[in-house]
Amino acid sequence: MSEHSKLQSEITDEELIRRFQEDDFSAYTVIVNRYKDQLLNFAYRFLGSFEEAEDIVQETFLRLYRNKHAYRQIAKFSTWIYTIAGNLAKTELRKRKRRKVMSISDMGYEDRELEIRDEGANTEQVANSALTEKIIQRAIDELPSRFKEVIILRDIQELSYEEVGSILKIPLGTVKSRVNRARLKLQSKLRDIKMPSL
Amino acid sequence: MKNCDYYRTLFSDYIDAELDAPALSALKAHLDGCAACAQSLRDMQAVKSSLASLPPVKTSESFDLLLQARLRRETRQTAKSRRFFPFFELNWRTPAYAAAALCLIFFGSLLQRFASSSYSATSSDTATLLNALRNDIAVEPGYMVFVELDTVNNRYRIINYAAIDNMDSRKEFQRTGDDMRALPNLRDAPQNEPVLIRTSSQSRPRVRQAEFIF
Ligand SMILES: [Zn+2]
Repeated sequence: MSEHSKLQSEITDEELIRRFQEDDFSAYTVIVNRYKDQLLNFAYRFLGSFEEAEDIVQETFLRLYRNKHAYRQIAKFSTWIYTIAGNLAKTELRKRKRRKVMSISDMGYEDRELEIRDEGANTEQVANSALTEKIIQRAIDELPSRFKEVIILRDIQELSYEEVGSILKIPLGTVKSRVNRARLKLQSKLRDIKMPSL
Repeated sequence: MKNCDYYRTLFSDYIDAELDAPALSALKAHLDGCAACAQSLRDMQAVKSSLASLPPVKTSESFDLLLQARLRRETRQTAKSRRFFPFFELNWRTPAYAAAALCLIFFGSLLQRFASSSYSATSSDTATLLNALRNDIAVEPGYMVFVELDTVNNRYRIINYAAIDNMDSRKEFQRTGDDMRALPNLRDAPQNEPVLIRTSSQSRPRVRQAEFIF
């Protein structure tokens, strides 16, 4: 058990992937548990759909499983896995545009609202924060992918500009100017709406 | 003289405290005389903090289960020589999770090869599920079906289903309110039709998955 806790908290990602590359499957499960929620948050905000986001994260871990030897120790593992998830999410978005089947029911809001309601906060607060979230998510959905990805990684996941740059493989200066433009676009989308938390 | 558009390119760096001293004082001087930019900067700060405070989502109960199912299939296809796949020895989660794992229903060779500790379904259970689905589409063998069992209301609901080797085929299934007693024991199911039971979901926390140890 103490061995297990040690595995969970102290071992670096890079060590875990190295072990997994040597066929230690328990290292894989630690990686999955360490990254599934982070990647889900990224994909959920990017796609606006909980179900699709879970599929993307599943696929990311399947690719990790299949292609474990594609990872090289020169890169940070977190960057590598985010890049896989990000590419899958972008592909999904393109597929969806081709299908042109975006309906409200695809957005996954109903589940989220119910979940929020169960957290025991007072009703008005909850209604307000659920509304705010819905409005913000709608605004994010309307951003072009290149703005969406930077603002999610930087402002929702709170990664450094350097990390965002490595994940998206774009120079630091480009990340910064893109984040600035994404924030300006988002605020102009949100400006005319009375935001409970603004 | 720089214009407002120029100063707005500095907002992010200002908020993130990454402006150098000369740029900072130039921006501050502009903000003192430009109410529009000052307001825009306040808006950007508000947007940034709203984004940071969005509630995080968590993977659903069925996430690990589904990943296991897919990996099992993967190993079956790509590593047939591997005789033993140690999934059920791993402590992925809590005892509640273990209970959920027991509800994983696998049939046929998948069951025999990999899921020795999972439970199987009766043919009538499976027939009930498949009949429900046939009202929607023709289900071929090899589909995965997620069913939510609601012990409080004694109902089951088919949430979605997909061809096990093609998750792009995943479809939502809208019908609700089926009587759970139509799925009596979930044992001795027909071959080659993997069915995955989703015992609870984030949106239905009152469903008590612990009751589903068959
Ligand atoms: Zn100005």
